[in-house]
Amino acid sequence: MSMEKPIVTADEVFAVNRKIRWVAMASDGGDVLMNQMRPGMESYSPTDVDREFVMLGPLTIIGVCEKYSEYLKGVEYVVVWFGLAVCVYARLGAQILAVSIEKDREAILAFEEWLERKQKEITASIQKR
Amino acid sequence: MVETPEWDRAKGELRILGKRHLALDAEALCRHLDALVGQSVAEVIIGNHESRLGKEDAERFRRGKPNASIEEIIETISETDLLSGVGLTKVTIQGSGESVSVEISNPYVKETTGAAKSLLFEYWSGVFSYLFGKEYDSKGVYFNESTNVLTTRLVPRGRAG
Repeated sequence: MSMEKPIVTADEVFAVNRKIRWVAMASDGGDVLMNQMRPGMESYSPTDVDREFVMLGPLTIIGVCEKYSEYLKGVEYVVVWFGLAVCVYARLGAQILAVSIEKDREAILAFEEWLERKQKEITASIQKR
Repeated sequence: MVETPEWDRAKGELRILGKRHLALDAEALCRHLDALVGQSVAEVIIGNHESRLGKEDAERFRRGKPNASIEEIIETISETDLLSGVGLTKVTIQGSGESVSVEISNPYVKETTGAAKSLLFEYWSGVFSYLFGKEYDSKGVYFNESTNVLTTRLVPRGRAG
C-alpha cells in the first residue's frame, strides 16, 4: 500500500457535477491512490482494468503530449472522447487525476473550470513553500 | 541450475537459469522511450515494469527453492544479472532490510536519468519488495566514472533517504 494520500477527495470531485462518473488518482510514480465510481453508478469497465490503466495510462498519455510543452507552453489537461463517456487526464501537483464524465458539455465545462482553478491553487501553494 | 546461458541454435532459444530470454538492445529501447514520453515518464514506465518483474522472479526462485535463505535467493538473482549481461552485481543488506545497497560494476547502462536509470535497479526494488513483504524505493542512482560502478540505495517506502 502506498503511504501517499490523494491531493483531492472523491467527494470533492463528484460534488463538481453529478454527471462525473468515476475518479481516480495515481502518484507520479505509478501508485494508484484512488479508483472510485460515483456511489450507485455502474462502471462500463471492470474495476481491475481501471486500476491497471490508472497506474501508467494517464501518465503516459500526458507524457506523450508534454513532448510539445516547450512549443505550446505546457499541458493543462488531456480530454478523450470515448463512445460512452469523456475522460479527462491531468496533473494535479505531483499526482495524476483521471475522471470520466457523461457526454454532457455543461458537465465537462464545469469540471474543466474546477480543474483549472484547482491546478492554480495547487501551483500557488507549491510556490509559497 | 546451469551456470551459463543455454543457447539452443536449432530452436533459436536463449535460456538463463531456465527462463527463456531475448537478447535485445535495451539501451536503445530506453532511449526511444525517453524520446517518446519524456525522461521522467519513461523512468516511471520502465521502473514499474522492472519492479513487477523483480517481484515475479523473486517469487519464482522462492517457489523453486522453498527452504532457501534470502541471501541464497539474492545470490541466484545476482547470477541472473551476471548471465544476462547486466554487469557484476553486489548486494549489501543493512540490518533486517532497513536499507539495501546495490552496486553494479561494469554496468550495461550508466545513465542516472530517464528510462535507463530505472532499468537495472527497479528490478531489485521489486525483488526486495517481495522478499521483505514491503515496497522498496530507490534513493538516487549514481555512476562513478573512475571505478565504472553504478550504485543505489533501496529503502522501504515512506522512509527518508
